[in-house]
Amino acid sequence: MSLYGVMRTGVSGMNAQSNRLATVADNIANSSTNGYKRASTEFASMLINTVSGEYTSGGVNTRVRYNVGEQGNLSYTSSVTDLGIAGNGFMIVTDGNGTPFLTRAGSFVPDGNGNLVNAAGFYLMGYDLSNGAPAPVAGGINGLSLVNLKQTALKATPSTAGVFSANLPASAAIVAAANLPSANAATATYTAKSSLVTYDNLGKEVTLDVYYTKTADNTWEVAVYNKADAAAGTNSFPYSSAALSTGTLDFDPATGALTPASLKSLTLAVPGGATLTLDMKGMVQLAADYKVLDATVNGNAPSSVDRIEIDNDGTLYTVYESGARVATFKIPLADVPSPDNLTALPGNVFMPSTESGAVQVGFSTAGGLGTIVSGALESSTVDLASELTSMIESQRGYTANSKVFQTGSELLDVLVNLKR
Amino acid sequence: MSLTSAIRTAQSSLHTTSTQTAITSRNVAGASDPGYSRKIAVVTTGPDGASRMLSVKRAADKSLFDAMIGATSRASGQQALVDGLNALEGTLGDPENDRSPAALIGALNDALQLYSATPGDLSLAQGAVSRAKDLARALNDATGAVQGVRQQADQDMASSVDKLNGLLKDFQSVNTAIVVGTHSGADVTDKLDTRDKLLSQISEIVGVSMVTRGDNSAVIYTDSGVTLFETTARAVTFAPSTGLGAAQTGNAVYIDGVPVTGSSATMPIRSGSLQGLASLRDDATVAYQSQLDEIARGLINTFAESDQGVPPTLPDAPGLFTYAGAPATPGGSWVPGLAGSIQINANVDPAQGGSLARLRDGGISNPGNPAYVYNSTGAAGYSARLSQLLDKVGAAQSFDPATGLDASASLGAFSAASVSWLESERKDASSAADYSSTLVAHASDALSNATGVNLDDEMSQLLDLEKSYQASSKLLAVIDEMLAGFIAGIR
Repeated sequence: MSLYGVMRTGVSGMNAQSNRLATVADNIANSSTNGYKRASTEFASMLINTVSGEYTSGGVNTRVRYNVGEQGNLSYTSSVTDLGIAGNGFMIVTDGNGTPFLTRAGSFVPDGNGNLVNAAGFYLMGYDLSNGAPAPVAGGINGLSLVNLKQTALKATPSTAGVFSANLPASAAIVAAANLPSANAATATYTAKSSLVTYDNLGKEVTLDVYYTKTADNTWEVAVYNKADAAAGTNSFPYSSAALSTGTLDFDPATGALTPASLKSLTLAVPGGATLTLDMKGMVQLAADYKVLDATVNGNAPSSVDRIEIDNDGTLYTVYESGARVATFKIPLADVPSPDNLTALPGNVFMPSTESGAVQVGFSTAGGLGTIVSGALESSTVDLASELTSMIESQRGYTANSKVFQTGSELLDVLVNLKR
Repeated sequence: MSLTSAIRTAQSSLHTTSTQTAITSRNVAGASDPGYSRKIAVVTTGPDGASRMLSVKRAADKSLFDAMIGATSRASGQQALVDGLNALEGTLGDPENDRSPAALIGALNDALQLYSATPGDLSLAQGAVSRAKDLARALNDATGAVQGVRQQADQDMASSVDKLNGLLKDFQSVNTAIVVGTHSGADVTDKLDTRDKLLSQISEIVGVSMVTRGDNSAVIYTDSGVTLFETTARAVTFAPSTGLGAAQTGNAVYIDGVPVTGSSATMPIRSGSLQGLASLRDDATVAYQSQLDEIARGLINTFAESDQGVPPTLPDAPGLFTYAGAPATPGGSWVPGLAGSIQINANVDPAQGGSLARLRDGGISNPGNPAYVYNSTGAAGYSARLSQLLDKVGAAQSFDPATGLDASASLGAFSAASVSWLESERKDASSAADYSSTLVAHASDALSNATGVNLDDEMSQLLDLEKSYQASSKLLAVIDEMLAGFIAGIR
C-alpha cells in the first residue's frame, strides 16, 4: 500500500507548506505591529515502522513557534507613556475582565478614566506606591492595580531636610552678648544674615531668617527666626516670638573647619510644618567675606500635576509644576523560564502555559530583567527579507509535494489500467 | 541583524540628523544675539545600534560668566558716580572759567584792590559789590546743583530698586520653569540663556554672585552675601526722601531686611549702580557741599565787622556777606547749607536801598549803630577798612577738617583746592569707570569666544550632517532595491 502512502505523504507535505505560508502571511501582515513576535513553522518528520525490504512513507508534522524571546528594535517616539523593553521581561496588562496577560506592546495612552491602555485595548498594571514600597510576590501578581494617571490635582510636601554651608568672615568684629540676635532685643547686631524658603504642612512658604554672629574668636552663634514674626519697619528685631533654634558653631583655628565637637546640624520646627534638620557641616571660617556656598531645602508648595515621567526602573513619577517629582506607581516586569513557549493570544499578548513555566514578577534593571525605556516602542521582529525567502521556499516545497501526489496518482492509474 | 532592522536604523539616523540640523539652524539664528550660547545636541547609540538624540546642552563657562557679571557691576557702580560728578562739574565749571567760586573770589579781590586805590570813586565800589553779589549767587547756585544731584541720585536709587524688584520677579518665573523643565528632562537651554541675561541686568544694579543647585535652580546673593533670590525673590525696599538737607544722609536700601547701603549698613554692597548712587548721594556730594559751606562761612567771617569801641563790647556782625542767621556770625565750625543762604547785605546794595560807601566806611551790619562804623569822619579818602579786608582775604584762616581739604588756607586757596578736589574725584572715578568698562568688554569677548556661536563651525557641522543624511537615505534606497529584487523573484 505504499503508493497510497506516497499520496498521503504528498498531502501532508502540502499541508505543512501551506501552514508555513500561513505564518509567513501573518508575519508579513504584522511586520509593522509593535510588540509582535515573529511566528515560525517548525517541521517534524513522521516515520512509520517499516519491515525490511518494504518502505512505507510517513509524513511531516508542523508546529508553529513564536520567537517571543527575540528582541525587537526600539523605535523612539515623543510620548513618555510609550514603553519599550530592552532585554528580558514583559509588562503585565489586563483585559476588561481582569484576566492578566503579558505583553511587550507598549503603546499606552490614558483612557477617559486616566488608566493607561495600549493599542490592543489592554490595561497596564503596576504597584500603587501611595501604600508604601511594593514587595513583589514571586510567581504572583497580587497587589497590582491599574496604572492611573489621574492623581490628586494638588500636592504639598513639608520641608524636612536642608543643607546650608557658607564661609563666615574670620576677621569680623565680636558682638557683645547682650546684642546677640538670640537675645531678640531691638539692639541686636549680627555679622551676616541669609534667608531660606521652607514649606509648612500645607505648602505655605515659611521664610527663615538665619543670623550668624561672632561671639568670640572661632565661635559663632547661629539663630533662626521666622521672617513672618519680624518687627515692622526697617529693623527686624525684636521678633514677636523667640528664635526657632539657636546654636553655637566652634571652628578649628588651624583649619577653619568646624571642630569635631561643634554643632553640625540645626534641628528646628518649621511653624505649622515638619521638623527640619539643617545640615551645617560644610560651614567654614576663613578670612574672606561672607559667602554662601550651598543652600538647599526640600519640600514644595502646592502645585498641580504638570506631566508624568517614567524612569528606567519602571517608577512612574508625577511631576508637579513646582518641579517636585513624586513616585506614584512602580511598573513591574514579569518573566517566565521559557518565553518561547508562551501561548500567543490576539492583541500581542501572551499567557503562561505549562511548557513556559510560572510567571515571576520583578523590577526593571534587576534580577536579569530588561530595562523599561520610556518614549520608545519595540518594533515587530519580522524581517521582510527572510519572510520573502521563506515564501519562495514554501512555494517550491508545495509544488514538489504536489508533484509527488500527482506521480502517485498517475501510477495508480497505470495499475488500474492493467486489467481490461 | 536583518534588512528590516537596517531600515529602522537608517530611519533613526535620518531622524537624529534632522534634529541635529534643527539645532544647527537655531545656532545660526542666534549667532548675532550676544546673550545666546551655542547649543549642542547630545546623541547616543541605543542598545540596538540606532542613534538617538538624548538632550540639548549649551556651551557655558561659569568662571568667565562670573567675571563678566562682576565687571559689569563694578563698571555700572563707577559709571553712576561719574555721571553724578560730571553733572556737578558741568554746572560749576573749572577755575579757568569765571563761574566757579574760586574765580569769583579772585575777581572780588581784584575789584576791592581797585577800589582801595581810589576809595572816593563809588563806581569802583559798585564794581566790588557786583562781584560780591556774583559770588554769593554762584555759591547759592552751586548748592542748588549739589542738592539737585543728590536728589536725582535718590530718585535714581528708587527707580533702580523698582527695576530690581521687577527683574527678580522675572527671574523667579524663569527659574521655576527651569526647575520644572530640568525635572522632566525638557530642553531648558534657551531659558538658561534668558536667566543669564536677567542676571547680567541685575548685576548692573547690584553686585551679585549666583550659586546653582542640583535641580538647576539658582540662588542669588549680593556681593556682600545677602540673599537676593532663593526659590522666591526677596524684597528690596527703599524709601526715597523728598528734599534732602545739606548734611542729611538719605535712607538706606534694604535687601531681605538687611541694610546694604549707607554708613549703618550691616552687609554693605560693594558694586552696582545702587552702590555708586548711594556713594554719590551720601559721600561725594556731602563732602563737596561742606566745602562750599566752608567757603561761605569763610566769606561771612572775613567780611564781618567788629565793634570799633575801645574796648570792644559788641560781638562781630556779618558785613558785606550775610546769611539767615544774622546778626550773629556763623562761628568756627561747619554750618550745613550755609552756601545756600549766603547773600550780600541789603545795606550796601543800592538796588535794595543800601549805600555803596558803607563798603569803605563800615556800618553795613547795622547802619543805626555807630559802633560798627570804621570811618567815623566820613573822609572820602579813607582806605584803612578796605586794606584790612584785603589782608583778611589773603590771610590763612581755619576750616573744618571734615571737608577733606587743608584745615588752614586762605579763602582763595581753599576754594581753588575745592575745585581741584572735585576735579580729581571726577578724574579718579572716570578712569576707574573706563578701566571697568574695558574689563567688561574683555570679559564679554572671552565669554562670547567660549560660549558664542562660530558660524564657520556651524557650517562645517552642517556639511557633516548633510553627508550623514545623504548616506542614510542612500542606505534606505539600497535596501528598498534589495527587497524589490526578492519580490520580483516570487512568481
